[in-house]
Amino acid sequence: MLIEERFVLFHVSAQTQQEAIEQVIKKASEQHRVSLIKEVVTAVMQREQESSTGFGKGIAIPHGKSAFVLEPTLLFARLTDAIEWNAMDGAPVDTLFMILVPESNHTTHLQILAKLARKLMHTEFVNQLATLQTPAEVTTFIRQELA
Amino acid sequence: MVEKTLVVRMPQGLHARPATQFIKISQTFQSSIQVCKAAHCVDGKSILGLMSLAVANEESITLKIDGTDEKVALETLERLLTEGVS
Repeated sequence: MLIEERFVLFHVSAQTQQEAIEQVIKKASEQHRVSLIKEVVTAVMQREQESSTGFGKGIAIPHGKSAFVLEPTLLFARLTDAIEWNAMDGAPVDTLFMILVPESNHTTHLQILAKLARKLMHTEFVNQLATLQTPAEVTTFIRQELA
Repeated sequence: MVEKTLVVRMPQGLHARPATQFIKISQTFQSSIQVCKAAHCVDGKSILGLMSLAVANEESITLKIDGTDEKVALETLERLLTEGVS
């Protein structure tokens, strides 16, 4: 599952977690990775309700598995303003990595999640991520780091 | 230090709610807690550490616990990992 420039969003304006998640999934739908936005939003929100994917440092990794996801997809989003995410460290979130996988897919998202978690433990990765300003920069950086 | 290798019995693996539960419990102990899968060990009080292991159902992990409450910590975490109760 590789990130592509068309899956990178900047200046996402959202007041709530649900709004942010909806906007990212809408993008995935525009890029033909999601067939029914509402269903996928529900899957991702359900996972958040089970336990927050706000793992600290302003970064969350919302993810979901749904029959309405057409292909495993990794998206990146930077929010205009940080929002409440019920994160582990209590800090608001302004950066999202979203992992969407089809129902039949058992482990792909867990592997990506594990790789991202490993990276997020390093302050250097987090700091560098915050400096990226364009979809091309994000794509190159994430591809290189998750390789 | 106490050390035990056990097989995780959690239908969805050590993710989401079970992982959060594990962290919340491990943080209540004074002892240091390491969780190891194969040769890779992480801090058992860090959610990112735990996520980075990607522990699936029926996989073996080793708990290495060191401190004054190591025995009760091991018993409690083992119950959570193998029986889903804390």
